Amino acid sequence: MIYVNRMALAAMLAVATVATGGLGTASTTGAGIVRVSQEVRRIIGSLRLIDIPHRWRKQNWIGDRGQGSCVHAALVHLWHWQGRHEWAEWWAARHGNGETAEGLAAKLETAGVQFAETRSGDEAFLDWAIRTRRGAAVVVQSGSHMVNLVGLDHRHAHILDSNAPERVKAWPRDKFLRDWKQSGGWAVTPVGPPAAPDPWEVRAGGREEASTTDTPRRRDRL
Amino acid sequence: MRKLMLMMVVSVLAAGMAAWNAARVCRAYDEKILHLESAVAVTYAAALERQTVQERVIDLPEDGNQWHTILIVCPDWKSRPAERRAEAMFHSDPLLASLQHQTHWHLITTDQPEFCKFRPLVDATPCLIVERANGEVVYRESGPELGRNSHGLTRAIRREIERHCPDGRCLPLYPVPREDGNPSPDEIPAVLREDIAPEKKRTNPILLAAISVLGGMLGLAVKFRRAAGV
Repeated sequence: MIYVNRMALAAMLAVATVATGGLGTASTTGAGIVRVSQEVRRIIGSLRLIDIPHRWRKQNWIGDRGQGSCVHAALVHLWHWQGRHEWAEWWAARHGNGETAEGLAAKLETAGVQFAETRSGDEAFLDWAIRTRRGAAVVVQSGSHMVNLVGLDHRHAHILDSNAPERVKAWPRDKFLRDWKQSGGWAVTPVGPPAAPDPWEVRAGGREEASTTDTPRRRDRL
Repeated sequence: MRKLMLMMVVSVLAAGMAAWNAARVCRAYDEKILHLESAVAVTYAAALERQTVQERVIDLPEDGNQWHTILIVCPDWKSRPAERRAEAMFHSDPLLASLQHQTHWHLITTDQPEFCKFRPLVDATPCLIVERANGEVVYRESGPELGRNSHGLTRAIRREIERHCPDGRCLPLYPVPREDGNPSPDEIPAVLREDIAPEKKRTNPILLAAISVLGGMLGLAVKFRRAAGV
């Protein structure tokens, strides 16, 4: 009889515990199915593409010694991307002509600019520069030219060339890496905050909406 | 005469002793100076070496998943009290200053090309947007009231983070599969993570009291029956 009573009491308590919503502290997220819109997919798919606005793209210019200024143009692009517009303009107004790795490092150090570089063709550096959305200036064409690496995936390297800054070109990844290493493997980037990604919001009902649907942005075909 | 000779010997001995002592002190000073000079040289060399290392090698920041704090203001924001106050709040309030340092900070004016992508979200300036590394907006507030109550703002941001990332767990950074297949690491800025604890489910106190009373009554009934020998 006692056992029956105890069991009845235990059953009552169990039912009541369930009814009150449980006494435990763990709670699940309860994440249901989230519908990801095409626009959000596009934003997330292009997170690792440095999309420098056309207004900030600079045509390569001739310095006072009659040399092209591709190294400085590539750096100016990166500073604009990292939001340092005044600094980029200041640098472009005071620097020009060809540049060596040593010369540029000395100038950057004198100016107190924090930067990162590789001169040994370290691919991990390029991966880091793209992974953190900073981009890099990379040497190509047997060391005679410098361009911006604005994207790097399994198949392609996306290149912004100051000689034709209107369009970003996709090079086969292997071809680019070979060219870069044969050119000395120099890559440099300022270590500033990368640009904020395109924003999107989660709306009621788990729908995700991009904020830019009403103003389609101009994008390069890659 | 003997006395005179004795005095001379004593004075010569004293002079010798004094000279020897002076030489010893000088040698000790020389050694000390030499030691100090070498110590300074070592320190200087070490400082030079450290300086070179600091200049040439830096730890590459792995901040690809860091959140972004974006304050959008007018081009002439410095002459607008509300916008100036909103900007100053991120320097004066310790929590917001920490947020600024733990996220990528952007002060964007409405005449910059970067503003285009935020335009649909901005009703008025100043406008504060906190977004994850994949662009998901976690918090948004705009208008002249923005800089009035920094503590209220911090609380509001935390509330929104709890809504977006319950128990500190956010949606995957990449809803489309990531190329490397790795899960997204912990990404909420530490300053906003401190107060986030799993929310305890509320229990109904009336129901609990009723259960206790019922249990007690049942126990008494059992005891009564046992005492009555039924």
